Amino acid sequence: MAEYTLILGVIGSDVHAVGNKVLEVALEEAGFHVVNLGVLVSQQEFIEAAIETDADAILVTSLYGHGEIDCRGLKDALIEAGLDDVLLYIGGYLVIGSQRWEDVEDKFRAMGFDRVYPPGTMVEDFLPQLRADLARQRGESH
Amino acid sequence: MAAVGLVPDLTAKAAEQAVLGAGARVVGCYSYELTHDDVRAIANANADMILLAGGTDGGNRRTLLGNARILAEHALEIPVVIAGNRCAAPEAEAVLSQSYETHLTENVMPEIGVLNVEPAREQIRRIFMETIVYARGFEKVERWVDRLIMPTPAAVLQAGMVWSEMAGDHIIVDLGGATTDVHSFCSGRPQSEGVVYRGLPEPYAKRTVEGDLGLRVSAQALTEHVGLDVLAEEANLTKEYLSRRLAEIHQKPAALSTTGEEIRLDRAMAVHACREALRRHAGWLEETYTPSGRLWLQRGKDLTDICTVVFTGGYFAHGEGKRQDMQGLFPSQPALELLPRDPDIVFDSGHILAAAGLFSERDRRGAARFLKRQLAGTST
Ligand code: B12
Repeated sequence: MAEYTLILGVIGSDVHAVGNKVLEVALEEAGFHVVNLGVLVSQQEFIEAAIETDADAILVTSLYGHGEIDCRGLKDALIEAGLDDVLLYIGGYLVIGSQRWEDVEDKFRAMGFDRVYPPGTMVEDFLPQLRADLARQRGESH
Repeated sequence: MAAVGLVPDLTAKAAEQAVLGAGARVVGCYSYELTHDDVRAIANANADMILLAGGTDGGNRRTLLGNARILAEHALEIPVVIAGNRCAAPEAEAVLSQSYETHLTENVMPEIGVLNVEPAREQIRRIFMETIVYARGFEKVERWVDRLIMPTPAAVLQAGMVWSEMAGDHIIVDLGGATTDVHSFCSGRPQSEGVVYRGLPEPYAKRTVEGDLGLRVSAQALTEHVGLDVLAEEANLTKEYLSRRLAEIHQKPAALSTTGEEIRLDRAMAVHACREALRRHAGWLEETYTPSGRLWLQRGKDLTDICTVVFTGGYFAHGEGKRQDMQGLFPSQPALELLPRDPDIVFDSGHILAAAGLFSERDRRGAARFLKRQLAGTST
């Protein structure tokens, strides 16, 4: 069994399927156990899957511009479900229009995301960070 | 049986499906961590067996192990089938084996979105035949039966499997005195474009059991569900008569109907029990709006394309079933409830389904021929 389990999914009513599939393939190749929930994933489904699989991280995608609304309360719900130590990442096109990236990042950090990635992030751009975060999280919780 | 899993919509639901599919009655379905009260409730309900699931393979271990420990403290002297996270199941078995007869089998949900209930079903059926029948003092049965013993619902499900190899996708509605069972044999995946499936995949052979829908033991519960007024009006009876008759049925649930009034009441109840049981079994559509327009989410099985519905149970065996009543249960227009559209109605008038299912364990082709002879030609 792979060392780390990651949950992937595109949140809310978002149907952009391509990036999600690209992430699944690339992360599996990188040696992770990937549980891909696909598109149109509710907060509830992310949480339930994370519980059953004992996931190490949840990688949320949002492309259609409603990410902020869809992700509201997600971190709180994870805490309620006893999943406070699961890493929470988000990437895609998080907001509508051209807002300053720093502001977008701050907004999503404040919502409880551990890492926030801008449009066009490639897997190799965030893989080292993900590995480091996962190793640190294991070290802390054991 | 008691079914135990982790998340209600995931492994707990899969565990319940495995239990129902094995022909057992569910006395309790538990999620997350079991409490001592839960275990006492399982004991008080006289469960014959427990199915313990939880966690995908390589996933959550804590709940399965914790639940095994809680159960171990109680030592209920019933078999436990362990069908949870493969990586924690042997340890759970070690914890339980001190105080229980344990059986290790494959995970009911090895991965998110993958249902694997057949190995657990098989295991449960085997334990039923080898252990439960004797524990219940059924050994006398052995004087008459030399080989196979099977719970009736499991036998009906088995007959459905054999029938589906010949006749394709179909539904069996088993209307009884206490419960109404619905078995569907189909993948149930979305049929039309613009429909997205949500939730755990459904098993090809799916059984649901409605404990509040039936013609005798559950007549009172059914009446409460339908409403006394409605039922009285539909059966063309006075409310006073209906109340009196319900009390009579309660006292003598084995009594058959003979008078015109009694038969009219059975007929009205049969229609409601079948309609409600089918509605609960079928999947449904929910509308959702996305920036690119409207989309439908499907939960449960899409039964719209099913062409044959077989009705079985004493009511139909006695020839009481009216074809037009049963046709009326199904919509002719597309609806949000994914029920079959204008299917052929077949009555199991010889009441042979359970027998054919049992027989098929010994001779599958013989059972298939038997089913064909009995069921064919009775359809519309
Ligand atoms: C194809 C496409 C569609 C297709 C999708 C088909 C499908 N089923 O997949 C269709 C036509 C259906 C569509 C519809 C819409 N779309 Co569109 N779509 C695109 C488009 C052109 C490409 C998306 C894509 O596949 N990219 C390729 C993949 C590989 O990249 P990616 O998804 O970004 O993923 C990569 C990274 O972002 C990253 N990543 C993704 N998730 C995560 C998560 C984490 C944690 C990390 C670390 C990294 C990461 O990794 C991936 C691999 O490198 C983009 C524009 C663009 N060029 O990006 C617009 C775009 C995303 N769509 C947009 C819009 C507005 C819409 C609609 C609302 C339009 C409308 N009004 O109808 C609808 C929404 C539908 C819905 N309910 O979701 C906007 C979003 C604007 C915004 N957010 O501000 C975009 C940006 C176009 C634009 N410039 O306006 N769309």
